[in-house]
Amino acid sequence: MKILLVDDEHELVSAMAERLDMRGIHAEFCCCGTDAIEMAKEKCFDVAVLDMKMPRMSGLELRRELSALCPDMRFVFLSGHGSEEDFKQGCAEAAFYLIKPVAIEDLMETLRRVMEK
Amino acid sequence: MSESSRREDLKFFGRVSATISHDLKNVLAVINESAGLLDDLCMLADKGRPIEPERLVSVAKSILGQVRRGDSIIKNMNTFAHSVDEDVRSMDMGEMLTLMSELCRRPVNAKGATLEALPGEAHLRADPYGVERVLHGMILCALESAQQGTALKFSATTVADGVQVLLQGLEQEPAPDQQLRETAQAVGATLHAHGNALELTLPLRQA
Repeated sequence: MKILLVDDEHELVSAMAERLDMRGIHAEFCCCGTDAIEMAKEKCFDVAVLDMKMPRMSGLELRRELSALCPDMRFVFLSGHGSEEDFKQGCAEAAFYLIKPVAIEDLMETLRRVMEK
Repeated sequence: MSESSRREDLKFFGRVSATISHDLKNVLAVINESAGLLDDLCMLADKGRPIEPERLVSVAKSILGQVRRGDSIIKNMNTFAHSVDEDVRSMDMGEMLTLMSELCRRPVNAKGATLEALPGEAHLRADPYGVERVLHGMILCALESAQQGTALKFSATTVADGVQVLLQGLEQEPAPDQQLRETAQAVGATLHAHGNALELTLPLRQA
């Protein structure tokens, strides 16, 4: 399983990627939508884990761009807000939505469910 | 205060609080991930993989950095919360501009813009919460036309009849709405758009 992690918090995604790698899941990361699009042009990822609120390009906008590039890519949204509005938007777009801070076990379980869907 | 003004007042408090809570969530998320990484490294060490000391130092530095970041956010939140303690008090406008720039960092970053509070000496007696509302409104007004790379600059200087606050570097001449003008009037201030800047003049002393 190849995962793309996108969040403007560099220390968050770098640690998360390292921890997923330790669990046998190949994860790459970047900190903005523009870089994510470039990475998706280079290679296909199975799942993209996207922060909902990022500077310049939101997770929802990025999801649309990535879907156009890689129609088979699946998505999980991460949010720091945990607001009802974010939850509805996230679920409507991806059906998989996690609220920060995320336990690694919950992320692993969500990735497993995404791949089964 | 009319019902609509009370509503706008609450909206302002809610917007600032939501931004602060989002920033704190991010701090906690990074600390959570860093602590988890330390735990993972220790588990691997138990299984015979040695831990590189530099790796531990790097993760510890990350956690300490996030604690400092969280502390700064909470200090700003505390200052903001205490701005309703007194109806009128003496204020250092340089500190006030720095506070509002920090509290608005997220919406500013979201546009790919920057906001710098320039150093300057200017003091006055006013309603701190009311002044914060006007400054917040000015920043949001400036962000309407902001784009990637927009560099906004906030400054305060003492003038003959009060303190002049300038928000410069807007991409186009701003159009402050009626609500923002009324918020300025509520603290006895006048608000003008000048070219690509917003100018607020506050009286030196409020009743």
